[in-house]
Parts: sequence; C-alpha cells; structure tokens
Amino acid sequence: MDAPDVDLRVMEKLVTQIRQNPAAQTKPVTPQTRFVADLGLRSLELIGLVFICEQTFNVQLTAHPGLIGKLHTVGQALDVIHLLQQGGVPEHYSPLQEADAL
Amino acid sequence: MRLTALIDKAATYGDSTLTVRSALAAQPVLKSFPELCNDVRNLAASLADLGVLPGHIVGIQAANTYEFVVWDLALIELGAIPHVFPEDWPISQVKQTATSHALAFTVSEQSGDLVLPNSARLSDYIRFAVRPTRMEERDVLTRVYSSGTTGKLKGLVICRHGVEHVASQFIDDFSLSDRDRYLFFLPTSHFQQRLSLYTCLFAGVSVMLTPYTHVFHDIAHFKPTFLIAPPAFYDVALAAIIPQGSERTGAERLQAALGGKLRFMITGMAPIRRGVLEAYQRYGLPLLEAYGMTEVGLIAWNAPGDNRLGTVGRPLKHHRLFFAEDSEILVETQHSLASGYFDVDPEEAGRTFLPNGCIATGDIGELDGTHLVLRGRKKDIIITNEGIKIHPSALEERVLTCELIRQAAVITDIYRDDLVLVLSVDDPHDETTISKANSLVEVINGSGSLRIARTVITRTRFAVENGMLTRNMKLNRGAIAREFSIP
Repeated sequence: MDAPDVDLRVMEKLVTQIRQNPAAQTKPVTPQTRFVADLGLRSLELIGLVFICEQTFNVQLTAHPGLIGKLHTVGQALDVIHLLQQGGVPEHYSPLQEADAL
Repeated sequence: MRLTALIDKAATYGDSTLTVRSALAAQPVLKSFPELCNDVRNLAASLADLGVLPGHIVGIQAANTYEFVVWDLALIELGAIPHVFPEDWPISQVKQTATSHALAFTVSEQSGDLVLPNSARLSDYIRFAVRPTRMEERDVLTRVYSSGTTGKLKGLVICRHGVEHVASQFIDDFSLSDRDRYLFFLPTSHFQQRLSLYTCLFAGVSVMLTPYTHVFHDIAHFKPTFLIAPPAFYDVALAAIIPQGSERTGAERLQAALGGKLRFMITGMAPIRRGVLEAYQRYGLPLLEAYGMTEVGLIAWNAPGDNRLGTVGRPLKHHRLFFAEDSEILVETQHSLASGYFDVDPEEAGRTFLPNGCIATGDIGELDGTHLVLRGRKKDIIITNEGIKIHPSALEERVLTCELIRQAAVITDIYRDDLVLVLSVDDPHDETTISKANSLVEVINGSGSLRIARTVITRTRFAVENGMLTRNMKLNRGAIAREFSIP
C-alpha cells in the first residue's frame, strides 16, 4: 500500500469517527467521495473532521481563509493536506470540477 | 440594568475584549471594551449628524463582523431601531422590505456600505428615505426575523425590558463577571446571539465571535469559560476529541481541546441525546440544557449547582407556566422578549400571542416538581439536532409524485440525528420501485441542505387500524417512527 492509499484509509477512519450516527448508511471512501452528498456529513461534522484532520496530519487548514469551503471531496482534502505538508501554498489550490463536486 | 447605560457600563471594563474573526480574513479584529465603546460612540455621533433620531428604523444585513457589532450598538445607543435582515436574503428582497416599512435607510455587507466613520464618510453611502417611519414606542429595541414553529420566517419586535430582564437573570444565575470569557459562532442575525453579546457587555465578559469553520481552533486558543451551542456541536466535539478506546483520558482530552477553563456549557434549540449529557457529566464538564423561544426569551434553564438531567431546568423568575389540555406549554410573563410580530397575519399571530396574555410555545411538556420536562413538539415539524427545521409534508408530496409509491412519511431516527423516509409500496422487492425510490432520494439529497439518511421500503400501509393514521386520516408520525425509526 503506497502513501496516498494509507492516507485514504486514515481519512476513512476519521470520517467513521466523526459521524454522529453509526447506524446511518456508510459507503466505501474513495478520492471521489463527496463529504456532503455521499457521506452525508453535516456542517458541524465537517468542521469536526477538519479539526481531527489537522491533528492527525499535523497541518493547519483553518489558517487559510476560505479554503475549507472549497474542499468537497476526500481527494481534494488529501491533495491540500499533502500540499501543506510539503510547505505549499493552498491559496493557489483550485480544484478542477469544483462546481460539479457539490 | 438598563440598555440606555450599556455602552457606559461596558466602557468601564478596561481589561475585557471583543475579538471578531471574519470568515475571509486571516487575522481577527481585537478590541478592548473601551475601544469598542469609542467606535460605537463615534458611529452614533456620525449617525446623529446624518439625522438619525430615536425611533428611526435602520436596516442592517451582515455576517458576524466587527462592523455589524458597532452598527448594532450605535443604533441602540441612539435609540434608533436596528431592523436586522437574515444574511441569506437577496439584496432585492432587503430593499423591497426596507421600502415597504419606510426604513430610514439600510446598510448591507452585500452592497459594501457597512462601513465605520473612520474609514469613510457615511454620507457617501447613505441616502435617507423621504418620509421614514419613526416609532413612538420607546421600549422597542430591535426588529428581527425568526422561524417559528411553522418554519416560515416571522418578524418579531424585541423589547428593551425583555432583554434587560433575561440578561440580568443570566448574570445572576451563572455568576458572570469580567473574569469570564465567552465564544460564539452562530449568526448574529439570530437574536439569541445578540442577546448573549449584550449580556456579556453588561457583565464585562470578554467575547469572541468566530465563523463555525474555526470554532474548534478558536476555542482551544481563546479558552472560554462558558459556551452556548446547539446539541450537534457537543455531539461532534465528543466524537472529534475522544475517539473510541480513549475514554479513559477523555476528561484530559476535553479540557485540552476546549481550552481548559470552561465553567459550564449550555445547549438548547433542539433535543439532545441523554448519552451526550451523561458523557460530559462523566468527564467533569457540566452541559446544561436550557429552553426558550424568541417570542418569550429564555423560559427555563439548568444552572451550575441546579442541574437536573432530563429536564430543561427551572422556569425563570417572573415567568408563570401553564399547561393546556393537550399539555402545550403556555407562558404568562410581563417580561417577554418580544411584544409581538410584524408582517404576520393577525390570526396566525393570535395563535401564539393568546388573547389571555399568555404566549403559546407549541411545545408539549410538564413540570417535574420544580423543573420543566419537554415531551415533544405540538406540530409535526421536525427539528434536527443541528436545529434545522424540516417540513415533512413538502418532502412527502415530492416523493408521492412517483406512482409506484403509495404512501410516504418523513420521520427522524431515534436520536433525531437523521431523516428517515418511510415508503409504503406494493412490492418492496421490485427492482423498478427500489430504483425509482433511490433516484428520488438522490435528487432530494442533492438539492439542498437536508439529507435523507435512510429509506425504509415496506409493504405495510399506514392505516387508522394500525395507528399510523389519525382518525382524520393524517399521518401519525409518532406511531410510524415507533415502528420504523430504529434501523
């Protein structure tokens, strides 16, 4: 399993942790999985997920104004996390097909 | 405690601060209370120069910004009446309402005219109405919108004496002082947030407003001594901070993540799971349930040292509670937050502000000795634990456009966490039916903020005989939920 796969599985674990109702439907997490439309995360659950992502991956997503609102899929979130881990600047991050992601 | 003295009082707290983080700015605005009061007085003076008089109504539309706070307080200081529009209203609707009510003028963040006098000349932005309304009633503090039990926005006229009454009791019962710190993240267009801000200004409590996206980050750094938030926040905080298997260190983890200074936390606005209340109690952080509605203000609250789990607390002093035949809670008080509605049909208003002077809450409840216990909503409206109101009949009508679906009911699961759609069909195993039902759910889930989390497809018909229909053939959601809400 390479590093992106490991992070994907970590992300899956975090999503499971943050979901308030474990009895709700669950789907396998892929880079294309959408936080709201597929996983059904609500706004505060998303914010909880951001919080534990910051702790787990040791990055600060909230330090970049407007960034969180642009992250609609697991793949987009992991891309930004990897960018931040490498010292990149997320302001320049412009996910493709952003409009479709919702 | 008088709102006319609010700014003078707040200015005496030299060590207290207001911090406001806006959603799109990297750095928050930090002001001491004297600096804030100075900005408020400067704006009030500029507005007075422009011709704003006591009783003039001024429209404001903004997100949680420092400018909003200063404008709101400056208008109150002048005796003018802020008419606060929901932040998601289009500017055309704001302007139309402003014209129909003859507001003196309206400032909106959307139009970029919510400025402070030190950054621009107000006269460049503001055009007075030719004949603005001037309210004679001196007790009117502000006009706001609230979604009542019908979910339809209602205009509410908020009274000064109602605000003063609640603020004063809150300060007493929760022993607020200038050593306290309070953080909130819900929109200030919800009047409860402004009410909590005025209370803090009276008591010298340092305040931070932050967008919800930053709430966990800012709580850890701001170190509040108390919080007021919807149930979903506390639910998520538990899940985020204490992963399964780490319960043994839960207390330390919570303290660290929530800043380590919390004296108490309050929740309301929607039902909360008993397990969440018990978990916080187990970890040594009191989570207190409170109950209120904008029409009355706070009706009851649990307080530190007087907390009974499973109740929403002791009714506030000077409120008398009565219970109608159907157990609806009726409140008689001389200190309601609102004196009435505006832009609401009088007949509809009369169903809440009753002719006998009581306010009908729409909630079912009972007194358990001294403390109030809620038993549910009088009407069918579903309130999720995030406080979002769902109108099930509109959703059901949409689903019933599919001819294969005979009956439909939207309910919540047992914790009110998620919406469950129950569909009565002829053959629950028919692939076409299942596929059509799934497509409908996908369309609903993709079209707005609500989400159907689970769909039950059943052959069972909702009928009077099995109790799932009432005698007048309406859905008995309680009975349907008892049958289908548990996965």
